Amino acid sequence: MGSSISTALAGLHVLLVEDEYLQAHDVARMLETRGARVGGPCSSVMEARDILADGPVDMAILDINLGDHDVLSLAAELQDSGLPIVFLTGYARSAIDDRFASVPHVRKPAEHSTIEQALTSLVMRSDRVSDDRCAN
Amino acid sequence: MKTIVDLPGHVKQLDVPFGGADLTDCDREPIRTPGSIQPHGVLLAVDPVNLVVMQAAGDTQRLLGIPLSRILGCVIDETLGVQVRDRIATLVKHDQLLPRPFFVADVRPGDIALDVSAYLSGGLVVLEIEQRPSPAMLDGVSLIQKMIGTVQMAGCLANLLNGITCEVQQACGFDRVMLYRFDGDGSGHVVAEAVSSENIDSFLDLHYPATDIPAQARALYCSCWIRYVPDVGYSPQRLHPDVNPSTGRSLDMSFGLLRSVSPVHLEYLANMGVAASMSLSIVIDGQLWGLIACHHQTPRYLDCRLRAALELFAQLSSLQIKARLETELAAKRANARSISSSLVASMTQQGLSALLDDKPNLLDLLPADGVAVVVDGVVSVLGATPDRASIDSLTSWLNGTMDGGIYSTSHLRNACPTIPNAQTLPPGLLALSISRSPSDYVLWFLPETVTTVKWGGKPDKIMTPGPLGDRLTPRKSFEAWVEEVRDASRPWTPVEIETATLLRVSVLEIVLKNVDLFAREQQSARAHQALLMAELDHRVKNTLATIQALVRSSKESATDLVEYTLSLEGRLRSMARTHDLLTETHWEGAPLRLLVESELSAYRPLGDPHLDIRGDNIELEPKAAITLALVLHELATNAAKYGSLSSDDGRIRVKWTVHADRGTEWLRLDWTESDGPLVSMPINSGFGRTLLEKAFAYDIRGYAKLSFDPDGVHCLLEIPAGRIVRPNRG
Repeated sequence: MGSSISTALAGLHVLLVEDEYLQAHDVARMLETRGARVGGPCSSVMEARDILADGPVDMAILDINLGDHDVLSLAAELQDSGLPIVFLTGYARSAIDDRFASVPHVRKPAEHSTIEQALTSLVMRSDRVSDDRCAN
Repeated sequence: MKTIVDLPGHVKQLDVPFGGADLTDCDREPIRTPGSIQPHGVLLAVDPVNLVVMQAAGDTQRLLGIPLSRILGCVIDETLGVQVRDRIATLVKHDQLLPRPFFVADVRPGDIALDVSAYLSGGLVVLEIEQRPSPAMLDGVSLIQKMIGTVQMAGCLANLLNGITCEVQQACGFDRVMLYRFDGDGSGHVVAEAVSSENIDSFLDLHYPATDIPAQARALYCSCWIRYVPDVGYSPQRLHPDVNPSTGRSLDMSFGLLRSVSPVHLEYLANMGVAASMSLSIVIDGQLWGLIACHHQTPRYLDCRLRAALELFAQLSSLQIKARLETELAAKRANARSISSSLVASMTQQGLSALLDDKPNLLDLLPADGVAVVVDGVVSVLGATPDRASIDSLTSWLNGTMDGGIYSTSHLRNACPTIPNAQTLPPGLLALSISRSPSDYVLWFLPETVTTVKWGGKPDKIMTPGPLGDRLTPRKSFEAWVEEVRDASRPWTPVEIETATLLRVSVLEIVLKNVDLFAREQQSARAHQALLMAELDHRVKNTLATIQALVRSSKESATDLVEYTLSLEGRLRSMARTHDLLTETHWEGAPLRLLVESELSAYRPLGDPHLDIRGDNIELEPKAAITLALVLHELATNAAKYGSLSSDDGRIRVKWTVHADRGTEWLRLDWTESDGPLVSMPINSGFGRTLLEKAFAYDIRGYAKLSFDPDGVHCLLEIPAGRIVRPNRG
């Protein structure tokens, strides 16, 4: 792994679901410059499932669209499976179903640093969980 | 001195630049054709065919080392060198010059480093040459990205406006940067301000009347986004000769960077102690919404590239403001609906008294000084209202006046002069008739605007007013505005009128219809409303995110600030046009024909025989419309630079049909160029190519194929027919 990259995201495999090319491309490039490997970006739930079937990912960034129930059911499945996810969306937190209350929410338009922070704190959280498991 | 030559059958013309205008002349001053420039630069108006200088102005001896008399009639390479001549010739040949100036070259013919900008006016190429201030600006693109990145994070409109003034102040270093917002009547109000130090007088909350900015200046500011006077005490430099020798016409400098400005405006600035000024327009939906005004106490010169960056920032800021305004308007409307529903619910149970006694009540629904409910001659009030006798005479007057269920005014005292003590009534009234015969009312009252205005201003410093007297000072402007709004309240907003109208319907409905059924309908209407609000909010935020990505990715393919600015502006305009088309159908779909026409009409008038646009009338769903419009924009821009739109004979045919292939239906659109220059150049911008090949497939599952046939560019676009929402109406 490139030793010059020392961010918390280095080496992570991140699934990116975003249905607008310009935005998807922008976030994907940001992730790559921080040393992450991007799964996708993809614009549909079907493609996202293909990527997940190909091999494990470390976390997922999802643009949710309330009109599209598929994305919400994918989000619910990922959440149940324990995969860390972040919503990157134009919706206000209050518009999103309460069952996703613990999912970090980044509101568009977002600075790169805000997205990075949300992902970094997820990494920290899941690291702590694994440490606890080791202690047990 | 003012000399007016009265030509029979002609408009009166001033024969001296700007003459000696007085205040009442402002609307007639020749601001577009002042016949003179500011002295910090040199202007050369050049024949596009042979590049010979036809008219010139400014201190050519100082900047170019040649007296003005020796420049007239000469080709520009003798003054600016072969490089600049070739650059201008290329721009002319490819028809790339615009009515708005942009930076074309830097040059150092003598000891002084110069920046050259160019624009088209009256058939001439106008070159504006300025000394480059040192140090030169480094990276305009990064500056804009930093500025827009900072302000777009602002949550509410007030924070956004403050952020805009702070960013502009930091970027240009002027002492005071104000943001004026114009009210519906054209009067102005300083709503945000950033100053370089505490010693600078604050103008925050200053109001001034509409007449302080003449109508023709407002019209100019809508199309020309920046004005710049680096030294208010300048002496205008006349144009020689004063008219174009071959046409006899005055030079239109509307968009010129060096354009000499009105002496009335200069006197106003001087009276304020301002020595340098720059203003940027905030234009929303084609209307002048506001101005960013920058003042400095000493003369101040800015790099022309920094000014271009600020101009672009003003345009991007306008979009940001528009988004916030829409969000806030929608939120106000949703809030009013929700209060209205709970008012109606409690009124259903407790009767009309709930309108005043409960929380929320009628003053929560429409914020005002006070409200009165009049039913069967019994008056109940909340807040500050006129006394019972005045309300009685007001309702008798309304009985005879009201035509329809609602009446609103912000000049009540003038509207009902006959009733006793009319001059003591509050000037703002919104009256709702809530019974079948006009006798029962809800009345909201608003106070005089001047009582709610905050600006006290500082007493004017001792100074010698200019020849037009002391009217041209902020203090006197404020007094003039106070006189104008005396006896008037703020106007009632369209949302307030709409809210009151809806409440009236609900109240009447309660009286007239089955109560249970009505409540159920209200409930489902509320849920529907909440969903619509969330979707609208999402759309605004998502659009801002796309603009943000566009600002970032346009940089990848741009080689310099000028190209970055022009291409980004073009893309933003294309996106804005598509949004306008979608707004007309409530975001259901956009007519394909209009998408094609709006991209091509920038280069050729519609109906031009060189354009052939044909296909069925169909509408595309929003996402497909936005992406396709951006792709068409790149194709049209490319055609204008290198393809068939770059020559007079070139033709473009855009044709679409729906056909079945690979088991599904497709909309096939063919873009075919012919009779243009020999095609060798691939599509220029890497960004355009990315849009065509990747975004098109990614966003709408479309298929694009671009080929460079010797006859001209051909582009085949295929879009799944599922993206068609319906045949176009009409």
